[in-house]
Amino acid sequence: MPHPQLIAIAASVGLLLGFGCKSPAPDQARPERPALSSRALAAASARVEPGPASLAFEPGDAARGKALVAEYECNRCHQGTGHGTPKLDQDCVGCHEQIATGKFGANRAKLPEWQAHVAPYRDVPSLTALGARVRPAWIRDYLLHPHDLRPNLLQTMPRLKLTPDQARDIATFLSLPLEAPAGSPLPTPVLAVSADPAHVARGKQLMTERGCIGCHHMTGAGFSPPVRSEPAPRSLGLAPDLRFARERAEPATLVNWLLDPTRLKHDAAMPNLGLPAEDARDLAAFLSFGALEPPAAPKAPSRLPLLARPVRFAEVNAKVFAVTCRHCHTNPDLAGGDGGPGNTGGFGFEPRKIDFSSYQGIQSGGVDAQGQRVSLFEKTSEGLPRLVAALVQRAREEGGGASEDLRGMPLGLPALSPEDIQLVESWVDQGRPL
Amino acid sequence: MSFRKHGVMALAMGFCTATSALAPQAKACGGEWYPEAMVDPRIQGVAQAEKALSSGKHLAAAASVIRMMPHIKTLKSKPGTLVARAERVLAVALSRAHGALPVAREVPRDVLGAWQGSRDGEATANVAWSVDVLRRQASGKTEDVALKTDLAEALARVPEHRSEARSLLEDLAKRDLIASPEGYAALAMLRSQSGDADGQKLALKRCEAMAKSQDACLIRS
Repeated sequence: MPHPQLIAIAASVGLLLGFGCKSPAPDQARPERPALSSRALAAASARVEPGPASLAFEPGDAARGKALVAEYECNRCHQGTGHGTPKLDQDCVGCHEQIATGKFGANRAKLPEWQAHVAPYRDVPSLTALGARVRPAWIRDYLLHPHDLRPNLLQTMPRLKLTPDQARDIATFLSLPLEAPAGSPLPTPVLAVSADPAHVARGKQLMTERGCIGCHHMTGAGFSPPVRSEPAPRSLGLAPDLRFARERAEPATLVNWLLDPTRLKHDAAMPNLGLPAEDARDLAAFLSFGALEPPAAPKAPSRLPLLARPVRFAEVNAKVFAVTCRHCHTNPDLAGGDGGPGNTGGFGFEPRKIDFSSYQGIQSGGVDAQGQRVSLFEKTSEGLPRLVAALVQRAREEGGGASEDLRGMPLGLPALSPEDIQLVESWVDQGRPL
Repeated sequence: MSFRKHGVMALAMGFCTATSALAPQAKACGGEWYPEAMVDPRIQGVAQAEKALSSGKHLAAAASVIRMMPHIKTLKSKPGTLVARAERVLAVALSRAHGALPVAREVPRDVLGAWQGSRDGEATANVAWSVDVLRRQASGKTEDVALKTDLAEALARVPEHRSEARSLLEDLAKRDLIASPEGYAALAMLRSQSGDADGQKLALKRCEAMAKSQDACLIRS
């Protein structure tokens, strides 16, 4: 195959089964679902009927799910939530986009510094027509146990404080067919998908031939991770790890997606590749039934010993607190009254009043579930200061471990490096010197 | 004066006010005239004063506030405003300086007022003002333990408020919530005055671990 063609196919097929969306143009209005009446919601809830191969899902209360989507502020990051775009200071992705493109109304001298920070945080998958693509049971489980679904993105879905019932209600709401398909009605797949070894084997071959693995990871399937030149196209960040395709979608849905993604999602980044039906069938067969190695066992985060040299606040602040923690935990007096989700509350979290904007703020601790001020340096059952424990926990979460008691920080962002955790831990151990 | 005259006067005053607000520096000599946007330097100034205070430079912080807002005592502040933040910086600096700020070199003489605390009663009055400001601010922010620490530190400078200061600081220390090294220094002083030598040592140790300069931990009643 000629090289340019290969590149073109790799780039387009790379988005195969992306379930993602085009990166929004800065000024592009975000399409939103129409508001539904509670009766319509109730009726629609009853229509959520998982296919025979689906994971078990008992539909919940879609109206409550809609309210929860608002309460948990899903629209601060995602489009297609059924709720409008929030104002800019609540619109994480929109704000990052404005900063990245130099349109944000702030000190010009500050913008270049911020641009470097926000660049990776401009792309978040849209939830448009989620129900047409993704199994509700998977949505529920992913909300409860988010993991790294898109290895090309730095951020992941944060671990929200959701109960199983709440996750079910949200999944029910997000699975509703709230929008008419963009094109003509979806065709019934011409060819049924089965675990026929010949189809599965051909599907695996097509993964390489069609260039899918040029953009997608498929952990445990025996492919090398995608290699690409920098900078990679932004939209590739949304390419999911295809290991999870079988949990996320019905085989028939996979075929439909492969044949024409925009039929399922009007703003899909995945182009119509003009695949023959047999190719779509065999790719779907491999994605659904191909052999996968078992998932890797949870990895313990690597820890470094305490530093012997003095560590002062200025260093820890410059390397960690000011660049990572302060964005969500700041002094509301200095931020128009909104101290971020980790201070004045947000994303369904109660106000914790944690303030990383100053030395005194950090020493002032935060409010616990009982409403009591507690130190960020109080030792946990593991013997680590709370702050350090939360940082270590995030590294554990990335390694596949999770704890019901402790939420890893930074929430939904990559864990701090072992060196940065070592720095924070050493500073705490030295008595938190100014 | 007739109603008409009042109207003309009001119009004239309005025009003057609008003109002066729009054109702090009119460029009328050889160039075109245009309004020039002015940025309030106190926004950055107060932030810098807070930083200076936090890093132990309380005199520089206080001098900066006095220069920016020489009439600060007459201002009425609302929680979270720039004036409230400036008030807090000055109040904390005053309490750390025991009511006497030696800032004559940094502050113009005409706005120096009683801040130096060099005459009888001035230092005491300054500390009392500091306590008043911090108490007022803390009453509106009951959960702000950094403010509570600052208040307790100021209360510790006033003999009649020392038991209240001790009670506040002991409660915060128990929960590891004393937010500044100076707070621990004040606790050390209060423990020392009540004969608790071991407690004093512990508080001093915490102060010394936190402070940038050991001067912050010198005990002076």
